[in-house]
Amino acid sequence: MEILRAEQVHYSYQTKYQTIEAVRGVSYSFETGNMYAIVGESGSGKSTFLSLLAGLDLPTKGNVYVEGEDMAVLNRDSYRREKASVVYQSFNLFPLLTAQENVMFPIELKGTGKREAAKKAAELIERVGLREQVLYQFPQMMSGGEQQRLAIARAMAAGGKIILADEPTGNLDSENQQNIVQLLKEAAHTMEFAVIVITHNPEVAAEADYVLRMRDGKLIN
Amino acid sequence: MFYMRTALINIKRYKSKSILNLLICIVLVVLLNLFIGSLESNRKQLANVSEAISIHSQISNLNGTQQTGLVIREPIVDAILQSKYITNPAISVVLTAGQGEFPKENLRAHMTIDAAGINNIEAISGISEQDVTLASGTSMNFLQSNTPTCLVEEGFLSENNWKIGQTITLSIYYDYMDQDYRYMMQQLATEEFYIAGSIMSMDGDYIPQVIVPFQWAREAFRENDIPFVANAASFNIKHPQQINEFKKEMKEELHLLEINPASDSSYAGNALVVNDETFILSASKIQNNIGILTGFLPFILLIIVFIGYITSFLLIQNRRGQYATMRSLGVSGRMCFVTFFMESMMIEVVGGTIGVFVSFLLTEQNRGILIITFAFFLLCYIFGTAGALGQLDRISVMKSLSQKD
Repeated sequence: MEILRAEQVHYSYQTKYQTIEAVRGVSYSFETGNMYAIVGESGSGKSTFLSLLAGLDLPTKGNVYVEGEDMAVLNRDSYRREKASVVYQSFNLFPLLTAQENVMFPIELKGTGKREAAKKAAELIERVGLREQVLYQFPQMMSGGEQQRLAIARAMAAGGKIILADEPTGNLDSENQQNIVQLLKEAAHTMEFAVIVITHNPEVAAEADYVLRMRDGKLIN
Repeated sequence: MFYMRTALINIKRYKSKSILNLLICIVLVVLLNLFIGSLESNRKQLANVSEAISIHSQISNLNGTQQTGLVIREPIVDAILQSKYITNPAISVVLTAGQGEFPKENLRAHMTIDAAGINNIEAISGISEQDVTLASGTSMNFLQSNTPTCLVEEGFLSENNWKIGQTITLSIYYDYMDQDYRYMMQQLATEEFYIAGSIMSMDGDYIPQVIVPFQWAREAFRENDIPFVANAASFNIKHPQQINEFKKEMKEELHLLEINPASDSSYAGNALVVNDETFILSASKIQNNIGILTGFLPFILLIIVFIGYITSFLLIQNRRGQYATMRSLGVSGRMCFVTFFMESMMIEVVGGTIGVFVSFLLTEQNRGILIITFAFFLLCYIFGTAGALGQLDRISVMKSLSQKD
C-alpha cells in the first residue's frame, strides 16, 4: 500500500556565493511492508531527500504526498509525531533520559499516560532485542549497537508506519550492523513499516527490497 | 503536564547548569535589592531630612547686625504666629518692672527689675525647659496664656526671699525711645503675679529677672493704647521642603527683606535671616544621589536582561541536539520554546525567591522593596530569557540531526 510519494521533488538552497540544487526532480512511491535503500555518493542529495520525506523541510518545487495528502498542507509536526520517525547515524537520543524514558517520549507526546507509556516502551525495548536491564540506563552507558536499537524502538513507538533511517549503521561494527539491518527488515516485513534507509554500505543496500541510486540530486534507476 | 515534566527532568538532570543559573539569579536579586534599597533609603532620607535638619529663622535688622532689641511691628508678629509655614515661634518683648505700687515721681528709682514677655522659653537665649523649675501642677503652657503668672530668675528669687507658688505685686512698664530719641516709659499694669517657677541661668548667660506671658504683655499694650512691638522673634520652618513658599510669603506679604550688609544700622526688624544652608546642602546631596541612582537604574535592569539573555543563549547552544531531536519527534517549535522557557522560569522563580530571602536576612528591608526587587528581576530576566529562546527557530534541525559523531 502506497504511503509516501515524491513527485518531481526539487530542493535548492542559497549559500553565500551560489545556489545549490540538492535534489532535482525526484519522483518515487514508497509502500508499507518494504525496505528501501537509497545509495549514492556523498553530496548526491540522498540525506536532503530523506529530510524532505521526514517533513523537516518542504521541497522548493514538486510535492511529497503522505497517504495521498500533500505534505505542504499537512501539519508537519503532527506528521512526524504520528506517521513518520527518523533514525540517525548518531542516534540522536536524549542523553539525560534513560532508555525507557527515551522510548516513552514520543508515546507521551501523543497524550498517553505515563504508566501506559512506560509499559509500551518496555515492550518495544524487548522487541528490538535489548535486555531488560537497559531500561534504566542512560544512552552513554550503552554500546553503539544498543543505542541504535533503542533509536529504532523509539521510532516504532510513535505508532506511525514510516521509518526513515539516515546511515543507521554508520557508527556500528559489522555484527551490530547486521543486527540493525535485520531489525529494520523485520519492521518492514512483519510490522508493515515502510522503511527507507540511506546507506553507503553495499551490504546494507543488498538487504533492501528496493535500491534507489542517486547522483547529483537525481534518481538514476 | 508532559512539557512541565520534561522541563523538571531537564532541571534535575542538567544539575550543575541549573545550580549555576540558580546562583546567578540569587546574586542578581541580592545586588538589585541593594541597589533599589539604596535608592529607597535615599528617598526616605530626603523625606526625613526636614525632621532631621530643622531650618531656624529669625527677624533681624537690615544689615544683619542685630537680632534682639529690635522694633518688630505687630503685623509681622501676627504673621509669624499665624503662618502655616512656621512652627515653634519664639517672640519676646523687653519690659521693665518694679516691686509693688509706687509713685510716678520717683519712677526710675523703683524700676529695678529686668522683665520680658515671651511666648516660648526658647525666646531666651541659652535657656531650655530643663533649666526651669515649675510649681507642681504647672506646665510651660502658661507662657501662651494671658494670665498674670511669672517665672523668676533663681538668684533674684532667693535674693527677695520669694518662693515658687507665692504671689507678688509687680508694676510692669514698657520703656522705649520716642521719635526724638528720648527715653520714655509707659505703665502697662500693676498686678499680682503668681510665681509659677524659677529659671536657672547656665554659664552665666544674662536672663531677665522676671518673665511674664507674651500674650499678657500684648494685651496690656492694647489696654493702654500703646502700639505693640516685639523686640526679637525666631522660629523654625515647619516643612523645609516649602522653604521657597515660606520666603515668598514673608517677602510679598510682610515685605521682609534679605540681609544687606551694606545698609545702615537700625532697630527696625524688617529683614529675615533663614539658616537653611545645612538643609539645602544635605537635601541637594541626597537629591543628587537619587538622581545618580535613578539614572543608573535602567542600565542595571538592562544588565539583568542581558545576563538573562546570555545565560539562556548559552543554555540553548548546549541543547541544539535536544531541540532538533524534539522537533524530529514532532514537538512544535512553540512547545520547544515553552519547555525551555518553563525550565528557565522555574529556576528564575526559585532563585529569585531565595535571593529575596537572602536579601531580607542581609538588609532586613521592608516587604514592599523586596517585592519590587523580585518583580523587576523576574521581568528583566524573563525578558532576556525569552529573547534568547526566541532564537531557537534559527537552529537548523536538519543540520543538527545529521551531524555525525
